[in-house]
Amino acid sequence: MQKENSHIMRIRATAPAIRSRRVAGAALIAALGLAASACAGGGTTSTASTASGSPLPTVTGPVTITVADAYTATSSLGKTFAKEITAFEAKYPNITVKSVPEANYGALETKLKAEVAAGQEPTIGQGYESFADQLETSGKIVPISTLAGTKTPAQLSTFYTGVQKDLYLPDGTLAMWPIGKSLQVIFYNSAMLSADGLTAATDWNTFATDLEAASKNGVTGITIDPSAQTSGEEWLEELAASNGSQPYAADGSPQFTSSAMVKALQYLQNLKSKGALATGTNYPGETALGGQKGLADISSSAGYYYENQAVGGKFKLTTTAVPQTDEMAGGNFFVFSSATAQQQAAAWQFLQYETSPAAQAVWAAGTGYLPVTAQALTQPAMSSYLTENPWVSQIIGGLNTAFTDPPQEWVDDCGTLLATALQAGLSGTNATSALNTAQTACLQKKQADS
Amino acid sequence: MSSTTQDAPHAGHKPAGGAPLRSARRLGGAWRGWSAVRKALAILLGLAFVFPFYWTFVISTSNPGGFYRFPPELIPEWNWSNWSRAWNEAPWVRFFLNTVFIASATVLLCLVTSVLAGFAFGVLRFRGKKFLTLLVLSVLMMPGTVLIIPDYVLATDIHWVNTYWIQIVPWGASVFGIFLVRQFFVTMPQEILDAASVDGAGRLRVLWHIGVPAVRPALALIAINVFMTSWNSFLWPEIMTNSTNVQPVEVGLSGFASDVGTDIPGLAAAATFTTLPLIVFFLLLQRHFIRGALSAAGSVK
Repeated sequence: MQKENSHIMRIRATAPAIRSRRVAGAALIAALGLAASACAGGGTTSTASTASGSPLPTVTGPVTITVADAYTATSSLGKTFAKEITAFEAKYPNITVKSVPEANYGALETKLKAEVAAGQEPTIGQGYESFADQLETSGKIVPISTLAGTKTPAQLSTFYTGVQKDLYLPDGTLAMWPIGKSLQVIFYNSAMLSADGLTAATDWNTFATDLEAASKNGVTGITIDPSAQTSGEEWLEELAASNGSQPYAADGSPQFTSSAMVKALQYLQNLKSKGALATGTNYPGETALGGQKGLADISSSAGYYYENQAVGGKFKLTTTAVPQTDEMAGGNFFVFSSATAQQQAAAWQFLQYETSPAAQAVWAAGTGYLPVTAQALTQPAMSSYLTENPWVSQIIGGLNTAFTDPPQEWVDDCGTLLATALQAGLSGTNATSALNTAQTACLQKKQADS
Repeated sequence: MSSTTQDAPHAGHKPAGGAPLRSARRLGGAWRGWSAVRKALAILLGLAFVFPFYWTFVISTSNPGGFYRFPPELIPEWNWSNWSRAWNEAPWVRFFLNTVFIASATVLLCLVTSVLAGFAFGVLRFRGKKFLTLLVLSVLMMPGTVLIIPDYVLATDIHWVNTYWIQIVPWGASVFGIFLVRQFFVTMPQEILDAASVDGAGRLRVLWHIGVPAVRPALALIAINVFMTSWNSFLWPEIMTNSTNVQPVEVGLSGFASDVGTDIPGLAAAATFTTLPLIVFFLLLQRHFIRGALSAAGSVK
C-alpha cells in the first residue's frame, strides 16, 4: 500500500507546469478574493495584501471548513480540539469548523492521499514535514505565506526557533503551521531512583550507568520498541545527534554510516548486552515503568497522560528532558489549494487562532503537547498546569534547540529503514553492517524520489 | 453356531456374548486414559481461547494503574468507572447497529453470490469456465489494501463515500465462499441434479430446491466467516467513511488510541461491551459452525 501511495504521490507536474499552476492559482485566489469583496458590496475591508499587492481574501459570509486531523474524539487530544473549535466558532460566528479525525498519522496520511487522488481534499490537513513536501511538490497545498500575504506572518516570530524552522520546506516555502509540539522526555520511577541513590542523568553516559545500576531483581533499566519511530529509533537519532552528527544532512541525505550513528547503535547494543535494555512492542517502556519493572521510559512529552495512567499512583513520576540533544515531534497543519478563497481565508483565521497564546495554553494544558509560543506560559489557562507539571517549564526551552528530521519525502521511509537497522543491531548484527544496509536502501529511496 | 457368530460378527453388530474379556479390559482401559487426556487437552485449549476475553474483562474493570502490574492481577477489581467512561465517549449503540446492519447485509449478499457463482462454476457447463474460475480465484492473490486509493476514487465518483453502500457492496462476493460452494457442487452426484432436470425443473429451481439444501453446511460456514470479517473490518470503513452515523464499532474503538498513547482500560471496556453480542451470536450458531467446518473440510479435496 505504501508503494502504491508513493506512486500516486510521485505523479508530479514538471517545474514549469508547477510554476504556471501556482501563477494561475494565485490569480484565481486573487480573482475570487476580488469577487468576494465585490459581492460583499464593499462592506468588507481587506486588512492585508499579498506579496504582489493584491488584496487577500477575507471571510465575507458563512463558510464551512473541514479539518482532517489525528485527534480522535475520545482522546484527550480530540476533546481539547473540540473545545478549541467551539471557542473559535463563538469568536467567528461566520465560520463553521468540522473536524474529521483519524486514529493516527498513518491512517490520516492514507486517507488524505485517497482524498487527493479523488479530488476531495478537506480544507486543512495535518501531517509531518515529508508528507507536506510531497503535497507541495504536487501543487496540492497553498503556502502559508500566500494565505498570510507575507513570508513572515506576525505570529511566526513568537514561536520557539525550532518550531519556526520546522514549518519550512526544502525549497524555502513556508508551507505549514503548527498547533503543538512535543519533545522526547525521560520518565523515571522516583522511588527506584532514590532507592539506588541515583539522580536524573544529564548526559547519556550517566544515563547508561544509572540503567545498569537499576537492572537487578527483575528490573530492567529501560524497555523500548525498536520498531516504532517514536520510541527506539528516535532515541537512536538523539544519541547520534549528541555524538555530533544527525542522521540526515540538511538536504535529506542519510548519514547512517557516520561514526556518530555507529557509536549510538553500539551504545544501545551495550546496554542490551548488560541487561539494562529490553525490547517489546506497544509502548513496552510504559508498561514496564508502570509495572515497576523498569527504572525509566523514554517517550514523547505528549504521552505524559498515558504514563501517569500506567503509574496510577503506585509511585511518583519524575519527568526530565533527555540528556544532551533532543528531537522535536508533532505534526503541522497545511491548507489545500482546492479550497475556495473563502475557505482558505477562514482556514488561515483558524490557524492563527490556534497559535494564539490563549488557545495554545488551553491546548497544552489539555493534551500534554508543548505550546509553540512562550507567550502561552503566562496565560491563566496554563498557570495551574505548570504548577502541577513543573517539568514543562524545565524542558520547553528545548523547542529552541531540538532538531527535526528534514522534510524530504524519502525521509519518512528511511526512518523505517533505520528502525530495521536498530532491530537488527539489537538482535546481534554488527552495528556498522546494520547501518550500512539501511544507508544503501535509503540512498536508493532518495534516488527514486529525487 | 455360537462360535461362528463370535468369530464372524456381522458388521455393525456387537458380537453375541460380548468380546473376549482380556481384549475388553485392554481396550476399555486405553479408552478411559485417552478420554482423560482428551478432556484435559480440551480444557486447556478452551482456557487458552477464553483467557483473552477474560483478561480483557479484567483490564476493563481495573483500577488506575492496575493493568500495569507484574505479576498481572488476574482477579477483576470491579472498577466499573472505565465502563461508564468508555460508554459515554461515543455513540456505541449507533456503532453497534451500524455494524450489525453492515455485517448482516454483507452476509446475505455473499450467500447469494456464493451460491450463484458456486453453482455456475461447479455444475453448469459453458465456454471459458476454467478461465473464469481461475480469474475469480486470482483475486485471492491481490491484497485489498493495495487497491484502497483507486477504490476511494471510484467510490467518490459514484457518490458512495460515507455511506452504507461502500461498506457492503464491495464485500458482497467472497472468493472463499464461491470456492467452497463450488467444491460442494463438484463433489455432489450429478445424477441428482440431472434427475430434477429430467423432471422438468429449471436451473434456478434445481439450485433452490436441491442445490441450496445440499450446500447448507457450507453456507453456515461462509455466513459466520463473512460476518466475522465484516465485524472486524477497520481500514476500509476508516478510509471510506467520515461520520459516526455510518461507521462501525471497530472505527469507534480506534478512538481510544492515538500517536502518543492508548487508553487501555477504556479500550478494554469498550471492546468488552461491543464484543459480547458477537460472542452470543457465535455461541448460538456454534453447532452450525462446527458442522459446516467439518462438512466443508470433508468436501474440499
